[in-house]
Amino acid sequence: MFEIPKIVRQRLQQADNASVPHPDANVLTAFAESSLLPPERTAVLDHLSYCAECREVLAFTLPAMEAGQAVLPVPRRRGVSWPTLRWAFVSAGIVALSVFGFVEYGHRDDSLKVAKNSPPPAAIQRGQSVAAPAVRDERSANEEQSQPTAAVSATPEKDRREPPQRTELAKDFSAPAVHGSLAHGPLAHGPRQSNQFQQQNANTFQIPARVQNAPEAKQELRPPTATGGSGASEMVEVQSQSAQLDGQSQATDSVVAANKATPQPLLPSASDGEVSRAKSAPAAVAAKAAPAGLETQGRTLQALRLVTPTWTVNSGRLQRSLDQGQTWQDVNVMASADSGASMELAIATSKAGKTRKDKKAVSAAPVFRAVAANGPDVWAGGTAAALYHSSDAGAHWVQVTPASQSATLSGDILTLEFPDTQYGRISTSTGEVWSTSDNGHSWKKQQ
Amino acid sequence: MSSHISSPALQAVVDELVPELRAKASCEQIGLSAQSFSEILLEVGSKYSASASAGELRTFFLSLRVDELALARACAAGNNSAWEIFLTRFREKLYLAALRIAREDSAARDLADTLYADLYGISTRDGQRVSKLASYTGRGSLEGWLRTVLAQEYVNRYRRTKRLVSLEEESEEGLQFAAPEAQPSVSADTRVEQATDEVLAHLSPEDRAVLAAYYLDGRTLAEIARMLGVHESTISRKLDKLAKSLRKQILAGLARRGMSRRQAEEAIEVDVRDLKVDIRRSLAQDSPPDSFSKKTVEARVREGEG
Repeated sequence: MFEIPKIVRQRLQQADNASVPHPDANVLTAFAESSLLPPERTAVLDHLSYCAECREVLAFTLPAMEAGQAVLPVPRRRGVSWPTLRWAFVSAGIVALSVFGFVEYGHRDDSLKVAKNSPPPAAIQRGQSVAAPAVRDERSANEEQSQPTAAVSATPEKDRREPPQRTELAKDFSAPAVHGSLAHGPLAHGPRQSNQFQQQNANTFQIPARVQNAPEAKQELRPPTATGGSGASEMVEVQSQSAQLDGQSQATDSVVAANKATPQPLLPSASDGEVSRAKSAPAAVAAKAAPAGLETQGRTLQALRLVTPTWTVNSGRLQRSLDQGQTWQDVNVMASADSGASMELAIATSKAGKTRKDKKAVSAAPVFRAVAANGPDVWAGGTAAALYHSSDAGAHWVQVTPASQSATLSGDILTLEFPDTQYGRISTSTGEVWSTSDNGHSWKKQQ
Repeated sequence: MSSHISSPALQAVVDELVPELRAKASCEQIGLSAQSFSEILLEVGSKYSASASAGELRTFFLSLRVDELALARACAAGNNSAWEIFLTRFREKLYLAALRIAREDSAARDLADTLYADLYGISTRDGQRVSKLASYTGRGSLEGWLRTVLAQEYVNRYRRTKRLVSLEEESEEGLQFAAPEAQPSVSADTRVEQATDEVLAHLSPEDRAVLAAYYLDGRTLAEIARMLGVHESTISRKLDKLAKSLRKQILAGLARRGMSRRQAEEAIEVDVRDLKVDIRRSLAQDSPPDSFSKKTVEARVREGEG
């Protein structure tokens, strides 16, 4: 590698026969451990350069260090290695892309929704009696004008009076059929997660309607191609055909469309991509609904039921936000705990109220340290074993005192963990840990 | 021990430091009196340097591993509790170190046993038991010292027994210890030798040690780096620089000795060319199919042309 003239090698070797006394073992050890002073070190080096024997001894004293060095590479493996990182980058890219597509999809969907949000729940009730589960999406609805009429032939004129709603409802009913025949794939387009849940709702209330009105249709739909065999009406044929169409093209659209008419008051979140802090995706909708809803108490309560507020504890005060943390209201636990019926809000205005005002009543409330929420189920804990529970998003509060046969929770509550509504864990300043597995009805102190 | 003639400065420094160092060495545990401890320090200090200033001596004493020094000397004096401590701390390590050096269990045990005998002081001199531990001065760690002593013992023994080892065995297992075979003198011109010696003599001891370890002992860069306590890349850079400058300096030395530039280059080039020829020859021997295929290619080319 480093080539030197051969003569140098020769002369080095010639000189390499030190007859001078070798350095003491102590000095060699100190040299190997780099604890010699510079002049001594130079002397040893000089000897080493002429004494193969001492170089050998020195080399032998080192293997123990080698073992120490061999250990070094091990921790490196513990960290994230490049191959892992590479996949992490790839998956991060995929996630970013899908989120982008998701957001874009959501925007497009919003415009549709605004147009279609009109059908009141009453219409849905009426719709249940309608036996027209025609399947189509927005496009097929426009293209196949004749099919609605075929469907209408089986239904009273009621539907003709409200054709747009009927169409939509029909779509709604089509959801399970589409869902059944197309269990694979449609979600790959990235409909919201909440859709699955709402779809289930759609299913639950739809199935009775189907059983009442079109038992034959159901049989036909299971094998979508085998149409018109038994005494099924034409309507059924239309249904299955369009079901197939949907299946190939716009299944996702119909699924989403179906969701709009679900009786669930929880609306799908309007602006996707916004990350809510307290698992409150629908809160974005509430942001629109809340300002108006807060004008009257009744409507506020309604808004609260619709919305999952975001909770926080700010300098000992329990605060709630209906708009994902843009504005915060103090919540007086005592007031609602006492009166039960009325809910007081520290701040009357939520839109203009970016400034936080303390309400007098708040001073009476305990100093809060922790809050945990699962949808409308809220737990808040603070000093002097103060623990409050609300199962209606903070409208009504009940003070809870965790106690077992032998002990009662004492000290300040420091942390609250409620991973779900049933199970919870509390730790206190006195080092106690309490847990419940039945939404706070019974408590167990952990030793 | 007290026979050492200690300078007044040394005596003063030892007297000053004894209480502090004695606490550090926890002498009570191993039954070392203040008197014998200060005697040990005086001995160690006088071995270090008789002409050192008080400040230097202070630094020296404070850098000593007095706890291990006290332990070793207490063992040498035959203190049982000191031996117990020594054995619990070093028995396993000593065997492992021996195993690393000898690389084979029975040889390692043999080596370790020999050292134990030396440490206990079985070899009597004038009817007096002399422990090898009495020569430990606390300059390096006791563990490192034990390793060094083991290595010295092993190297000595190897050199003693080497003459009895058959050539075959040597080529099998003793390759790295074999003395580099003497190379026939290439240059008849003593001026080249002189110039080279001069250049080598002007090198720093460290450079020379690196050259010897790399070219004579065949150590790897990593090994040399560990031996000298520097980074591997430092050794790599040093070797690179040395290889380049050596040639230049020898040429300059030859020029000073009245050799023309061309002559000087030839005097050095002879060796380099020799080396190159060697490489080429050995390569050719290793891969005869190469020349064969070359020939066939040439033949085919000729055929194609024809």
